[in-house]
Amino acid sequence: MVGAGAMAREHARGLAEVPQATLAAVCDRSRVRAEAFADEFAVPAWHTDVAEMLDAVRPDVVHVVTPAPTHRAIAAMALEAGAHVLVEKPICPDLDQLRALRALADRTGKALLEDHNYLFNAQTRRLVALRDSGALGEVRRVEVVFAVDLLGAGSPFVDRGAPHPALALPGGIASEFVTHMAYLALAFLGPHDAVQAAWDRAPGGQPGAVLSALVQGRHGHAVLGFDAACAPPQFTVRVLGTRMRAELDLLEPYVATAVAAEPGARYPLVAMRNALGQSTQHAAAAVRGLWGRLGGRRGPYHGLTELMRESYAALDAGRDPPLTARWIDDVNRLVADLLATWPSS
Amino acid sequence: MRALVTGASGFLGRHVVAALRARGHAVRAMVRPGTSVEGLGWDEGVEVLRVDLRVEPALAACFDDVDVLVHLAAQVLGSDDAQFVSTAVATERLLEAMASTGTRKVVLAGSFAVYDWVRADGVLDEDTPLESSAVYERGGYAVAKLWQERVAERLARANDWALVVLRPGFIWGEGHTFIPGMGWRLGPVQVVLGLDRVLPLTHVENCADAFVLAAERDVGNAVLNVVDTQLPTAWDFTGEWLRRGGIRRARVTLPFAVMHALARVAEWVSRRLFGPRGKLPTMLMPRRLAMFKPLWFSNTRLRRALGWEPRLGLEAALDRSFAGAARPSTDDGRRGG
Repeated sequence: MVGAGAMAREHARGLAEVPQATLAAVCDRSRVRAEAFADEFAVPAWHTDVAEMLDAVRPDVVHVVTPAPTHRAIAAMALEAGAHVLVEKPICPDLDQLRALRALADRTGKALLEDHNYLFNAQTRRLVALRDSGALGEVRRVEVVFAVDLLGAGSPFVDRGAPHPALALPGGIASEFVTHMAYLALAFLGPHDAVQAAWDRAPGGQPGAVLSALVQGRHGHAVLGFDAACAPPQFTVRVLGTRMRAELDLLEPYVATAVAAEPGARYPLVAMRNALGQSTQHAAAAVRGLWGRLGGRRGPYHGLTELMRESYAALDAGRDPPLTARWIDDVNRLVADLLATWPSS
Repeated sequence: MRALVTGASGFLGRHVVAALRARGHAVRAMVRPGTSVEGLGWDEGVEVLRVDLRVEPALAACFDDVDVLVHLAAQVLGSDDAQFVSTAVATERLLEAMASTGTRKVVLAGSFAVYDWVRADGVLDEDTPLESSAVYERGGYAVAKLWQERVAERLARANDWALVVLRPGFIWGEGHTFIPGMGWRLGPVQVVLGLDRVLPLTHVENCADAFVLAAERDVGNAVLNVVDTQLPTAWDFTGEWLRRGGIRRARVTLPFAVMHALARVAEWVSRRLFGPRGKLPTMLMPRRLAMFKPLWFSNTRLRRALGWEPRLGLEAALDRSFAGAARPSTDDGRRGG
């Protein structure tokens, strides 16, 4: 594990549930941070130098969970050392760097993975299954909304003393989250053709606090909405098909669906059926959510555990991991196109 | 004496700076960039240094001609990770920089949060065991303060410095009269846990005096708890807080034993239903609830080592703290203790 911050802790909690994985070492520039992480997760070794750790531990897989601007160099070191690499999103700041990393991964025969955790959440998978079964009909429109208050007291995005590295990057705050929105849109839309986007700052001046984007696919389009100053929080995906509308909430464990009126159907009855169906799904999800919290389930990050479980099982068996190189490249191509609309770039 | 004071514009920091100046010491006051120091009443004997300990590359220069570091900087808001970085990692960076300078003494603001309250028995004092790996159930502040002490001890030992760790109880005073240890608000009711339970308080001016004495006196390495001599019960203090603050809220007490029994039942049910993964609401978590258990608190070691006596008794401290309180002090936010 390279990095010992909040996301590294999520990786460590997930790894504890992956039978093929043993967390062998942690590395952080700060000794006290590395030591505390090792103590919390019973990791046998801690280091403050990546090269030294790679040399001493010879890991099979390296998780890169550091600030985004450092991802490329650390991932390259890990690949060179013969390890598969799982990098937190965004994997690289631009496509050229990603291509270079991809070439390095191909040369060393190792996997280069990016964390697309929400793709592996149970709700997302249910929605994908609805699409695959044809229940949604043809997907015409996908709406992804990530609207969370990221500017409260103590937030790294309002911290003037040690500004979050994303604030200096194209896309500002949104650059940290746009990958999630991109892969969730592409999961239902397929590869994109074109992008239009508008950006705005937060009332406090933080760049990239608002993003509205239209993504054109071959058969439909996606609308992405990001807002860093919204409460109550919302992280939803809504998919509009020709037979059904379905919505999932990534902060709560539900998928709500509404069936489209069929030709000749009586509209009031369809509306009533939808209302009852959705209410029942919401109520059941609320109970399931509370039960899950009391039962110590990992909440919105449970997809990360699944991603790691499936990736480690595949790597251990010599199979291709669930996130293919082509998929990761498609997602990053959309991310790059979105960031290319950034006014300062 | 010239003291470098970190966290100098904080609640305790501004009082420590004032107390150091009152005794004629020169002060280099470290505050975060962008912090306003207007209105703090600092005179020309206070040199203001605007530095962020998490990122400043040239921290060693801050120690020029400094005899003692009074390290108060810590973060109590934000994510667990943000608290850890601003508290433990910042301390590591500061003390690693100090190693290349001539400064050889550190007075560190510790916290009661580092003690293992579950194992505390009868009296909580400097001999009470510290938290171990169970600290991660306690939340970010306790983790950050425990590792801050550990990193200070490691670097003090490696560099042969004198390290005095002062661990205050709940620090209170004007504008900071809500004590998290009082209990909880449930709508129109203030629930006080335990009728006779004593609150480990130290008024900010008394506490600041202890830091000045620790900076001045040669006591070698020491760990000293800071609590005042006259300690109120949570019930009485809550009553004063409501009355003097003009807060209209009913005050009811819940015996600690009842809450403890409730927590035990909840824990048993959780284990039966969910096994070791089960999670309890915060107020029912045994390690969190333990901070409300009835204990006595001693300041004997502090008084013996430093000759400290609280300048303000309880009544005077109450008068001082609520003097400007025509406005209710409902700052029920989180603060360290």
